[in-house]
Amino acid sequence: MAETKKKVHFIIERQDGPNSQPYTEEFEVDYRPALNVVASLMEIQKNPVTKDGKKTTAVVWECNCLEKVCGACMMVINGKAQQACAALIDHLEQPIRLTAARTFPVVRDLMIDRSVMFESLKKIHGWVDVDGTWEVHNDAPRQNPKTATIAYEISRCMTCGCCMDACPNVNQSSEFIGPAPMAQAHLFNLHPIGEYQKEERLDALMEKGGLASCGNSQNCVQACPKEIKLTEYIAKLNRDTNKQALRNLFNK
Amino acid sequence: MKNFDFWIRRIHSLSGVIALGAFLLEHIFTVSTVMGGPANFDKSVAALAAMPFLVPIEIIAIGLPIAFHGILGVVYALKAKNNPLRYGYWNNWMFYLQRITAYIAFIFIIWHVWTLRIVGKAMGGHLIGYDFMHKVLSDPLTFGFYVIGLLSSVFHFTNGLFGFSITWGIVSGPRGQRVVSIATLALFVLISSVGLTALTHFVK
Repeated sequence: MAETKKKVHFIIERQDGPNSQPYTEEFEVDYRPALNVVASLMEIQKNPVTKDGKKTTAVVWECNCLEKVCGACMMVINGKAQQACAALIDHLEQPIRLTAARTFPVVRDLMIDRSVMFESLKKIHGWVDVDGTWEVHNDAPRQNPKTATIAYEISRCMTCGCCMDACPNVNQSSEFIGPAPMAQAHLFNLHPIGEYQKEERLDALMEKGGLASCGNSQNCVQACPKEIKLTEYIAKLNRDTNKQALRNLFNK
Repeated sequence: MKNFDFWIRRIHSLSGVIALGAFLLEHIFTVSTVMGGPANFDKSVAALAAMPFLVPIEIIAIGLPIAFHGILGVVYALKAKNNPLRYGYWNNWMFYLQRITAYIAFIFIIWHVWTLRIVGKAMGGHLIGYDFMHKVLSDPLTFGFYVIGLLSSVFHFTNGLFGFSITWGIVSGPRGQRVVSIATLALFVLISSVGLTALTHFVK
């Protein structure tokens, strides 16, 4: 007796180019244990035929590490922004709806352009200046291990953009840089050499679209796949920027 | 000016608590004197009306901050893409409600000030007192709008205190934020109970 194979039903929002109109197509993929969304998209890529048997183009998406480290495969799955590689079919309600994270400009189908996040990292001075006055391995300033634990947590940010998509205040009509770059400013402010540029970072966060645009919806901390305590660091940055604003007002 | 946008946002936050919040509490306190009887209420209204420099104080300490906080707030709120149906977390609903109650309170306050302070008192020459308020609130529709306006204003204020505590970096950790969140919710229940009780005394 032929056993009917269990199928996984996908409804995917597609878009042919940055300025084209989105449309949906439905697909069915054979179920197998431990199947995830990226593996399902690979199946669709191998055989791009819709549920109704119509031949179509392969769905475009991005992925890289396949272990929730690189951030590339972030997309909106059943309404929530998350990593497609870590989204197990067994944990998802069917039909599974995939859309691009439309907070960002869509390149094609599920592929988005996240360069705004990198531009924000440039704005907030998201690096440590090494000016050559120390030998790298000798007598470098040390970091308290407790601070290092916090820094490690924030350093795991993979710029995936889940927090940006979840945040109601990050969108095309707002200048808000969003949670991820702000947490990075905090990370580099914690660094013993990085803190030399703390003032520049806090000043950058006080620009239009900076920290003060946060509306405290706290979606970011829920959406973060790396469990970075974003709201806690935003509150700490609030404290730091308030002090810096007063210093700018009275000390200069 | 350096940090201009930052300071505007911070003054927006500060005005909400120091000017609007303080006035809201004073207002509910004064209105609550009706619980001691109509004469008691009329006495406290008369005491306020006898304040020196009343009109400049009303304009500078109450009117302008409300206009500043309200207009700027609407501009900020309209920029958000509200998504509580996609991200149905508690704080996201609070974020959404903070904006909905803001719109309601904004309309309610304009109407409230227009009908009572401007048309009623300044233009109509009505003495704002128990008799006048009894007449106004005896209309069930008006009473209903007052209930909604009161609840929205109080919610916006108390939930705003939660945001305030984070904006000013007073609490940062999850435990501290949870404590403030519960405390502000309790404050909402307390203040709105007082306000609602006072409202019912006008139609007794």
